Amino acid sequence: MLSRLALTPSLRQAALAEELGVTRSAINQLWHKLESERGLKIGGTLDYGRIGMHLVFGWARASEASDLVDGFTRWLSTNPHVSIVLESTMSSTLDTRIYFEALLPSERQYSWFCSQLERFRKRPYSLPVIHEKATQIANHMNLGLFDGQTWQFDAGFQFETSLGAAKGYADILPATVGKTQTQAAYGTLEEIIIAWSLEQDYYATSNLLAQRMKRAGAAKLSSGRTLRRKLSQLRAEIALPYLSLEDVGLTQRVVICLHEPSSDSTMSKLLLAQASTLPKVHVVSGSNVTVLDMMLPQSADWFSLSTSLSNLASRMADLCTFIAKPSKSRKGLESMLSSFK
Amino acid sequence: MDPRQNIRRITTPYDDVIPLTDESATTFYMDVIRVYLGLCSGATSLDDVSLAARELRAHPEYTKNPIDPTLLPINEECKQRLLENIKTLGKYNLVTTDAVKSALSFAFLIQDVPINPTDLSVLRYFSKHPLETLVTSGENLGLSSRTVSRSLKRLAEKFLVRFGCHLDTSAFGVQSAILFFTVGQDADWLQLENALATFPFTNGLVKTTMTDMGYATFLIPGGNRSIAALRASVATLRGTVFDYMQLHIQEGMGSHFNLSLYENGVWVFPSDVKDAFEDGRFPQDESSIRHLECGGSGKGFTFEDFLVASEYRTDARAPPNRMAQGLRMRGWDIDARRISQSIHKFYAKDVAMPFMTYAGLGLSANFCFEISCNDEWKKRIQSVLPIFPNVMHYTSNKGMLVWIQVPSQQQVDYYQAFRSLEKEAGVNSVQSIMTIVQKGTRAMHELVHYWDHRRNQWSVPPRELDLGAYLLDDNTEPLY
Repeated sequence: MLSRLALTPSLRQAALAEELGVTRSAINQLWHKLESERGLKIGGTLDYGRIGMHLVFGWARASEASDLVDGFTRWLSTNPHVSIVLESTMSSTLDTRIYFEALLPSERQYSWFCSQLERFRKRPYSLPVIHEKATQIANHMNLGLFDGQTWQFDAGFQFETSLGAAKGYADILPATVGKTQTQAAYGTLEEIIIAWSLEQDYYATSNLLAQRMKRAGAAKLSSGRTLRRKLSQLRAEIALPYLSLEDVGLTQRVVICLHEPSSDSTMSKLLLAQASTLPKVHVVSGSNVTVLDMMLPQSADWFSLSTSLSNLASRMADLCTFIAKPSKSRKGLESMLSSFK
Repeated sequence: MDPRQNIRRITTPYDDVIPLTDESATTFYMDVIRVYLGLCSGATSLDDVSLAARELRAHPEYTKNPIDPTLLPINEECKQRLLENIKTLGKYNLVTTDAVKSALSFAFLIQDVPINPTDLSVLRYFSKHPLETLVTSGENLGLSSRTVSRSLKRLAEKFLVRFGCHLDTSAFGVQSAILFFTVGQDADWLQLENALATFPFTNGLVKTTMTDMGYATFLIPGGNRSIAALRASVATLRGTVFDYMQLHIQEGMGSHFNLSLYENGVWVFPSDVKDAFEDGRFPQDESSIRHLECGGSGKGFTFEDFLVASEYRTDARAPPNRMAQGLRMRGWDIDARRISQSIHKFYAKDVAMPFMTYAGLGLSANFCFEISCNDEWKKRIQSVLPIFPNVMHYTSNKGMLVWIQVPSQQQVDYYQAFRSLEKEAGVNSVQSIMTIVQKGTRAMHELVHYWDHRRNQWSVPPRELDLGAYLLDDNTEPLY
């Protein structure tokens, strides 16, 4: 069931039962079991721009841990719009990296956030910070590598050669592998609550939605039918379904940060094209920056992978792979909602 | 003359899967693969393989990556992995130097396989007594010498067990030096790497693609005069080719293999590592330090001794008649009795210290630390090294270099223990390089052209020691 679902995360339980030739109740039971034991979820990868939001991501680099790095991390961690902060436990470049993503609800907040990053970049701090607005986001899980017990993922030679082989064809690789971020001026409260629901569950029901709206204090509730229509419309428009599982032996968090000059995006294209072959990955990409936040089995050698990537990258690119705490999770729209009230 | 004359003669049953290329560096790695497969399949005689290996050693790429196919482990697993890898390259039509180099290195990246209790006890024993005879080791381990011998063979195949030897080369008038550097922003590493590889005294080169930091090791014959010439030349490189640079002139060396940390298939993290370098912990027990101090020339060694030492360094357990054979292949005729005498002399005059190396067993993270520190800290750091799983050190006039191999799960803790040294008052800086595998070095034999048989001493024209002239643009004025 999972393998089928991994191929087409948008399949409903009924369709799954039909395709697999088992009863709906069997699928349902299995689904619930996986939900409670392995956190099975069909989440939505969103176009945050469509609801007026700005996803900013990037990293700071320092040669070693210092008060400044601590200060920057603290600033990020206390900012309610920052959805994740990942500190490198160890990096391939043997420096310290602080990776962050922030969801800014308005143009004004976005400008303010960027100006704060700019402050860190300038004297007296002079902290090298790279940031960009995301142009696409993707989430993938490749269950084809999992036999129920172990992950068949070779972070060494196979990974390097498949990237190396594709290098010559980078021009024709698809540039978009996830949800493209558009930019609208704003999103209505209703749209934002729908987005929040879709982010958590691609198949959020209109009943749940109505409850949430009531709790969020939406002034005027649409009728059930209108809500259903809006929900399905936005589902198609702003969300892409993805499968997610927890506790399946992916215990190592490895983050790839790539900053490429705008004239050459070969490496970024290669990474985006390769992303869906990785066990589990969250991808954020902008015009010059691409980040892959991966979960890999413990057996995968992050350093070999990093060596392979640097062998392929051009000298102009800043490429860093680092390991970070696997337990840190991304805050979704839910935690941001307070700022809309 | 065709520089690949003997390599071309080698045929293997896999010739149709080995891709062809015109590119010189790629050809080097393809040739290594060909010679190795020839050797594995038994289709080629040992003599032919040795002649081919000699041609490989003459290739400039060998200095960058000293892979000798005759020293690669011959076993079915590695061979199959290598064949799979080159088939994959063929499938993708990917015949670049980097890809072929990776195919080769990943094939020999030791997989973690379980070790049986006998092999583990033999490994432990020989890590402490690398030169022990089969009979005595058998008696001490409660095993027959045949069992020990078989076990050593298995260990060589599965865990690449090798017996090497730290050698005080200064006793033979050859000074070891290491240049630690950060490549300058405007410098082109590939060009520098080629230049360093053609410098006749470069013995090894390490730099990863991940950072700008690297080091080159040199063996400089000719005593203080030569070293002074090298120093003067290197000084011109600061700020031009290299942003950061430190030339270490060797003062001593040693290694420690602490297999007592390996219990039930896992490496125990020694609780005392985290505060290993804290002030209150010194002085530690210095009796366990394995350190060989460089004593300089004047110990009465001959050129013949130098040749024997060069051969002995690569295999400290090789019987003298096999060493004689190896030397003969390189063109020197020294009989086994004479070889034994030389070896005795090395130990009598304290210029050799044997050690055992192995791979696999879960020690997959490799670090090199360059620690610039005062003499007191050199001693302190040395006294702590015996607690680490696998460590080699090199002391110099500027501080010391330490190479450690640790399990990947504990890499952060070990790394941080060394980095924390930077806080200490007697330590100026700690720089590090992380690698997948530790690289070998060129053999010492290559220096023989500089021996003046008539005057019975090394003779190196100072201009040949001008590293700056190799690394800087041609229009830069040479120093000499």
